[in-house]
Amino acid sequence: MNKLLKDSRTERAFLFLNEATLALLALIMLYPLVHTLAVSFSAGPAAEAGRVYVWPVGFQTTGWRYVVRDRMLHRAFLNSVYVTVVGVVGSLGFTALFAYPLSRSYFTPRKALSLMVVISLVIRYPLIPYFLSIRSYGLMNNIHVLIVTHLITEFNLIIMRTFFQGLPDELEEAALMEGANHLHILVRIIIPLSKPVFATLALFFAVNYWNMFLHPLMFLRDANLMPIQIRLRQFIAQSAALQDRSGEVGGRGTADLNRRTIEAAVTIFATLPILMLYPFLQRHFVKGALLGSVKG
Amino acid sequence: MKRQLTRSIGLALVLSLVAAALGVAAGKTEKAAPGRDVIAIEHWNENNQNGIMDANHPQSVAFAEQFGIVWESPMVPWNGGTDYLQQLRLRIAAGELPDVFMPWGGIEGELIDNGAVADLTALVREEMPVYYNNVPAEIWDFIKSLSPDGRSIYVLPAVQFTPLGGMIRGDWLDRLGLPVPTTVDEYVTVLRAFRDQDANGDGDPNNEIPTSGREGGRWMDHLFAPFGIAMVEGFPQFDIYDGKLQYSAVQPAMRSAIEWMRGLYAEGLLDPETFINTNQVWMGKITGDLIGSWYHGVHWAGGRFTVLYNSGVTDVRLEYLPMLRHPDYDGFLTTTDYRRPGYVFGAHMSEEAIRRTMRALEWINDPATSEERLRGYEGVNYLIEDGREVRLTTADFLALGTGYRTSVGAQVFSNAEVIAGQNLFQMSIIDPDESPEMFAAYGSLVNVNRMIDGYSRDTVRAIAGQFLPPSIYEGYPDIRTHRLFQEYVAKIVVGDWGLDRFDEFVDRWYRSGGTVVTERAQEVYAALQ
Repeated sequence: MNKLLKDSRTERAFLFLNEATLALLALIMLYPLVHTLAVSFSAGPAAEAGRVYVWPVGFQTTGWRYVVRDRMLHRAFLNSVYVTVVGVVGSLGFTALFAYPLSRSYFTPRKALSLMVVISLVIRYPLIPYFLSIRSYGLMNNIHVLIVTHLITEFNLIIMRTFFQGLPDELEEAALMEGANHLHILVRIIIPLSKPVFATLALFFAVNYWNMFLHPLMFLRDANLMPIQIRLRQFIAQSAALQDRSGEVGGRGTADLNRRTIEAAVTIFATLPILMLYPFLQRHFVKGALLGSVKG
Repeated sequence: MKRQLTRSIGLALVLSLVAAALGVAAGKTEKAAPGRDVIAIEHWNENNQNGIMDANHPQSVAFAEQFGIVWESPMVPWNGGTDYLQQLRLRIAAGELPDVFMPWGGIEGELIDNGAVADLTALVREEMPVYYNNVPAEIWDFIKSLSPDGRSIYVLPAVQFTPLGGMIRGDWLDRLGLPVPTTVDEYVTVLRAFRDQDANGDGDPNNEIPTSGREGGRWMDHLFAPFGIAMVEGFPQFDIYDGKLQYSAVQPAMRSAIEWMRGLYAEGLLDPETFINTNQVWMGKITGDLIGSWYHGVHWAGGRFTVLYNSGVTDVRLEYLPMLRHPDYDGFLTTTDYRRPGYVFGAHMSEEAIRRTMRALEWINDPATSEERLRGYEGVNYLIEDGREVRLTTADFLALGTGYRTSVGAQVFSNAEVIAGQNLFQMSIIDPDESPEMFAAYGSLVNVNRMIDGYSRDTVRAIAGQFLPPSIYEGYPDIRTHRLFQEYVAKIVVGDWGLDRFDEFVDRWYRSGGTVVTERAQEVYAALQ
């Protein structure tokens, strides 16, 4: 049957079309990244005039040098790494603790709690009361505000709960017979069996923590606490201001600085860590995302 | 399996502990211990997006000494004012106003009505006499009209020299042997020459764009001005037509302007992409040596000059393009003395804090201190190398990587003399022979001052509608954003629609709220008179 299908001409045409379409899609998605990378290594005027496509025009590394030299950026990078690492570990832990009881049918308040989760997923909090409550917890100007407010997100919680529901009840029953308590079951049985969903959610959480922009703006004042996205945004604004105004001259070396190339370098710089994370988690990623979404 | 799991959990724990330790370290910040009698001031304006100024910034340190305040400007993104306003509203709602800040989006009225900002009537005369006298009396009258009793000052206005005018490439004209045009007809002749010949000298006679603007019909005011149309950055304004305050876009002169531009477009003298150019694309074409003449802030022209020069156009010269005379119309360039509110002070501030902050603002806005301010601070504006002062540009300064801004950026008063004087001072501290970069810097100042000089002698008029509050547009957001005008002007000029559709535009504009808005504008104007 299989062989027959493969030999059929229409099937081959279909496969070819399929692959061509996917390849095209991949190219379309890859192009902006390659283009941005090329711009970041191009000479300012060429980038400015839109003459750069997939290969740098007038190769230079100035944009990158400015980005890499920025001391505030190093600080911001460390802040972001801290928030992302602690945030992901914390988020996975707290999400698992909440998802486990929600996935057990004998846990009576399950339905009520699930409903509350869904309500908060659909209806977002208004900004000002949210700001006031967070402030009243004394979390202003504290880097942990970025983590505490994102420990559990409804969507990820539902994915994990659904995944846990798919695990056979017999495992739990057997463990109970052996005298294990629920914490044991969660840590020794459920979690080890849930690697795919953990990998998937780790990536979701990591992207979320890494890209955080609004929260630090709202709750942090101290420049030394700012995460990387804020500093990068500021860096771009600074270099843009430089080109828009000629108010301050009389110094050396403005020739090679260009807003476009800096912007591109900054974009790549901010995306790179997450991009590097992806290949390691990809194996679990597809499986986890699918499992979480169809079983229920 | 179990051991592996324990190990990975252990690893995660250790990692998070290390990270937590790191984080605690990150949480600690070094604050310069302010002396007993130093007041911390939180300052917000549109410049806050460019960099931070904290207690350790050399300028904050100097201000502590000079005025007894620590000037702190946290980062607030601007994003066309949207992000700024959102953050500001959040702080207002939380009852935590910044101390001194620029109100945006017309919220100054709300703040005054709710008693959230301080009455500055007496203080501004005592602490900011130079600024007080420099701001025209009619602007103070307008500012007072914002207060409940009509006599108090709650807002310090921003009165900034913003010379918006035309520019033309002098080196292109030289190459073609043409003078700077002064009339509409001469301008067309120049544009045709730009179109037909190799004006930029790159060997290709076909890549020149004679003139161009930006999406929404913006930044092509030099084409509207000859017809006497009140317009700011492409937005038609209210001015006196037939003895009454009216919207400039619905006047017969606008029809003539559009008809003329339609001709330019059909002839290929106006960029075919003029109505879709984004800021970046437009700027790219200018600095890519492709556009012959354009309209922008002439005091910003130095940036264009520098990029062109550095990209190899070493003979670049920018000339001021005067308002083009039209035989049938009294043309003028529009200006508005009053740009926007500059600062308000939170009502929570002590009188002493307000006084000290005002002294700092007076110093920042006093033309007499401009050289001192331009000289700036060591480590931000210059370095001392071998006992010699070496100037830092923003580029150098970015390279220092401290994340600081270069200066406080709180200037709310300037005029042509102040700007030109600052440029002359900067020219005096540059040695153009030192390097090509220095030569470019010097050249850009020469070009900018030539432009400012040209603008100062041009037909520029402050329009009657400059003091209209945003509230006249209440209920008619489309009228406020000029959407209808932008649609019609683009489609008629590119030839999609016939010129006769202009009458339909006038009719639709009045019917969709224009009538009400015009009445409101006339009422406000009459009250101000």
